[in-house]
Amino acid sequence: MVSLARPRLLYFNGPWNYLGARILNSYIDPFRRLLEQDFDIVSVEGDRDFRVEVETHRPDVVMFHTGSEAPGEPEVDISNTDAFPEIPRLGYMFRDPFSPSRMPTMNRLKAWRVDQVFTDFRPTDSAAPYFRDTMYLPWWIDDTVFRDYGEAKEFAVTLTGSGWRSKCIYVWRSEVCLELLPKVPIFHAPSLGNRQNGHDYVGESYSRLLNRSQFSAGCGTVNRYLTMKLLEIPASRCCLIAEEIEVLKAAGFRDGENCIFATKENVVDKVRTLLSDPRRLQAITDAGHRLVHDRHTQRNRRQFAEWFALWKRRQPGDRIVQVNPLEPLQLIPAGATVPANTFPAENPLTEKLVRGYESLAAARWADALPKFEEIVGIIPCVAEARLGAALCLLRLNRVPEAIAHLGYNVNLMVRHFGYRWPDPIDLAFLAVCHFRAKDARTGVQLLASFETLRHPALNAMRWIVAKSSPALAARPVFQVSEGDNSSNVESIHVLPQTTFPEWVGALMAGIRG
Amino acid sequence: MSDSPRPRLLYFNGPWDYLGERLRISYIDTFRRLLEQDFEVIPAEGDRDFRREVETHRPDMALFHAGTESPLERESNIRHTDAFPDLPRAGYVFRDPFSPSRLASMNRLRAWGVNQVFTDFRASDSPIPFFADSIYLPWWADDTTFRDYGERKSIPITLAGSGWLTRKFYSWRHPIFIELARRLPVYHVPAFETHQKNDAYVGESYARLLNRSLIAGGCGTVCRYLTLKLLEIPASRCCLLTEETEVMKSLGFQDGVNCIFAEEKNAVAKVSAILDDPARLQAITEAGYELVRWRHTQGSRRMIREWLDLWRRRAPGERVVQGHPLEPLRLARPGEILAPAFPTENPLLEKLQSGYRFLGERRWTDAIETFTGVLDAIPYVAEASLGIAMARLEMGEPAAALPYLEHIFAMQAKLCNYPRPDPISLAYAAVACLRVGQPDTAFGLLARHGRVRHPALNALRWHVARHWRKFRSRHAGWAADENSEIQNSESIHLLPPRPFAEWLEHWSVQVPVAQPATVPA
Repeated sequence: MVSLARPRLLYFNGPWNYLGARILNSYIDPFRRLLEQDFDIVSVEGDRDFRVEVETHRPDVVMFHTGSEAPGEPEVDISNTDAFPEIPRLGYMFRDPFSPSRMPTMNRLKAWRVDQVFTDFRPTDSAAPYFRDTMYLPWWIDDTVFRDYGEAKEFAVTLTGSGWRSKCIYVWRSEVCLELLPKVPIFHAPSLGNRQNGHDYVGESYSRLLNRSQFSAGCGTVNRYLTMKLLEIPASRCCLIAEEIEVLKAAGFRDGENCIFATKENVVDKVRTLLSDPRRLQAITDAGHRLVHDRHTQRNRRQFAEWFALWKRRQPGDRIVQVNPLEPLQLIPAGATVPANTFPAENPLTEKLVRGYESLAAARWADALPKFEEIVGIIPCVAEARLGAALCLLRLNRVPEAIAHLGYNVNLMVRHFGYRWPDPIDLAFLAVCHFRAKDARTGVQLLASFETLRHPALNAMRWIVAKSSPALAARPVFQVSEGDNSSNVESIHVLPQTTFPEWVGALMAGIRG
Repeated sequence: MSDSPRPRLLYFNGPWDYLGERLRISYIDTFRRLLEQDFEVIPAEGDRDFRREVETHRPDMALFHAGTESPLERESNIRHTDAFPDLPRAGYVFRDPFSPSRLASMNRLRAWGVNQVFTDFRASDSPIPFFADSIYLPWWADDTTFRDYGERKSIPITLAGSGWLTRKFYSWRHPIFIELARRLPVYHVPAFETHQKNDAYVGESYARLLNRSLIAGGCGTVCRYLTLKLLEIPASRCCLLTEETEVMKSLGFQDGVNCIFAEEKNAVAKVSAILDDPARLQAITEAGYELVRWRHTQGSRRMIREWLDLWRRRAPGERVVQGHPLEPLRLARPGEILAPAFPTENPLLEKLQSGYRFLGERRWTDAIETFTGVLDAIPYVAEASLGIAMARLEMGEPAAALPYLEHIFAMQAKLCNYPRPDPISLAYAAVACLRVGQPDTAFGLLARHGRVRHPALNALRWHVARHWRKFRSRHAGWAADENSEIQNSESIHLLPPRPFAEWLEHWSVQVPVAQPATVPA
């Protein structure tokens, strides 16, 4: 007999007290409501004993939320996660795909032994191997909040959030804003960071603001992915102005039908034309509203329930796969070919990164370097670009600049994010740089400073150093066996090396210059 | 003021069809309503025969509106203004005090023979003889439009009009916009060109926008004078955010009492604090609203009627004078000297004047740097361009002077359609042409505006004609007589008035005739 009761989901999440109202209302609360559609939620916050919680609540499935990037994010300790291995475990990663803060998240999910990772970005947005089998949960609008409130239209154009008045990851926004500001009345409401509480436009008040606006604009950042804003605007019966990107088209958006695709060259004309044609503007606005409420609400994002249902009926060797995030998950029998993903992967930033690493692999240091530097110029925290730049600079004999890039990566992870470890590949190559700079003391200090950190790259570097100095070889941290592939940490880097000997080769090449 | 029936005012104005809705509604219509408070207004638009109009309408007074800055503005032809010389006549100058388009208004009012000039700027903002006795009519909020509509407050901060996006002209606005937009929700409503008709908020819709806003910002431009916006905001029961200027304080505005005075470094903190304290915001808004309704609506701007009453009863030798512009006009005895009663603070003008002081001290580089600062703020200040050109000529660099003189004419053409150049600008342009070896261009310039008379031009023409006989014969029509002090054009320049002889001496130094390169073949 089939049980009609909803599955019970034990939801490890939070604490969230380090976040401001905007992030809580826009991302954390809607995610819980998304889960509540399909599961009975038992929510547990902060440090927990997994075994005790499962014994207490007897869940059918477990979900781990891995936190949110913001100063003050705590490192949650969930103990005894080796218990109850048979209970399916999901993990959710709420991060930017270019943020180094993915690394702590990846390590949490690794420690918590999740069976399936879901992310708020496409697997293709992050080139690291870790994300090959992750599933993408595209943003949705919570239609209990983002809807037509019947407000009178008060503003011609509203621009909310980040990036309108500065050059940052939202490259389209600042260009479009510069064109619109002198020509069209603009209501601009800035975003003030993830800890900020005093924002006037959050949740319903934000939706009502959009509802009072004829147009509002948004983009998919320099990565051209789906951001929540791109759905919140039409959901609030406001005409969306957006950059023409593949993801939006895949999500059903069409220029002049249910949104306006604009560039800095034509945005003013397009807006003015529609402002003087209220019937057409109304038709586009209504069509956008219909599209989002038909296809992009919480009701259209049932991946967790689908996954759990497939997980329960899978046979040995079966795989749950996501061919398109806007279509149901599929169960692929053992041995069957997994269909290719049909969702657009367009991402200029990742493409540039990949091209940079291709040049690097071909030893075209001077070609690769500007590609990495361009990425860092747009988003300073892209650790993969900084490592790529550092490797080029090492080969170009510009060691101090290489040290600056890798020092940035290590400091960001340890000091800014407060994570207990830096990325081991950054650490290994930073040590290489210092050896190249004839500063062996700093190089040794770096390699000795995170004693418990294990990764083939770091193991290899420690082994190389120990080989060169019997005195160091006596220190426990440098007592590494040749070929030690042990790892207790995920890296966000995308270098092709995976094994100890491959890393020895790469590191020695760096040391020799 | 007299209780007698309203005097009949023959109001020469317009036509205004070249102006966009914003200018017409905000400035032209409101001025007419101001007049209608105290006069039975008989409007007469465009080309007119003054004698016939006066004969037809038998007015008690004539008022000439001297037009509005726009490249589409037309030159009205008002004939026979020598008729009825006893009829009191006033003129109204609606211009920026730094705009070269003042010249058009000045020459019109000169030709129409007005007894009194009223201006929308302080006489001290444009310290040239023409405005020495002008009466300042400070802006007012027309309370038929700018009032409390009882709108729900739905907008935290509104920044409407020009200047929020660039550093020009409204020097306070741009840094304030950058600071506020970084931290607070801001509604920015740009203003369009004077002749465009697609402004989103004009008149009542603009007042309602302000009425819906908790706070709105405005300033007195780089000149720190009173702008209309500074009254429209509180009049619409909206809290005014502005720069602390002497004029605002003199008009009754006090920080934290009836407005917020802010600067770049404290704007976000002050605005955030007041947004977080609704009771205080309400109190300030209310006090600003009361101040404007009490002292700064059309009801408090009766100068033109006051002038007429005083003009009629003045004794021989008496003058109608203005002390503080919020106090009634009065009659001054012959020889009575008036102490300044209203703040004259004007950083732009002060910079201009210090530039001219540097010129007087022969500190050419300092002068150029100072004038360049003026042009950086407002690119069309002809006095600054002329100052740089004069310094360059003195430095022996006429080729570097010429572009600044050309810039003066280009700016005048861009801003207004007035066909006659400033005579001093014209003279210096001709001098620069002569100095760079382009005498034909110089003579062409002088010939093209052959009817313009001014001691500076007269002297230059005489000098040129005396030494280049060929051109004198070719352009006999403009070759002035020696010592001609005839002047039929005003000048906006800050140079002290000089007679023909002094100009001639000046040009003789500037354009030495012995230079072979300047002598045409």
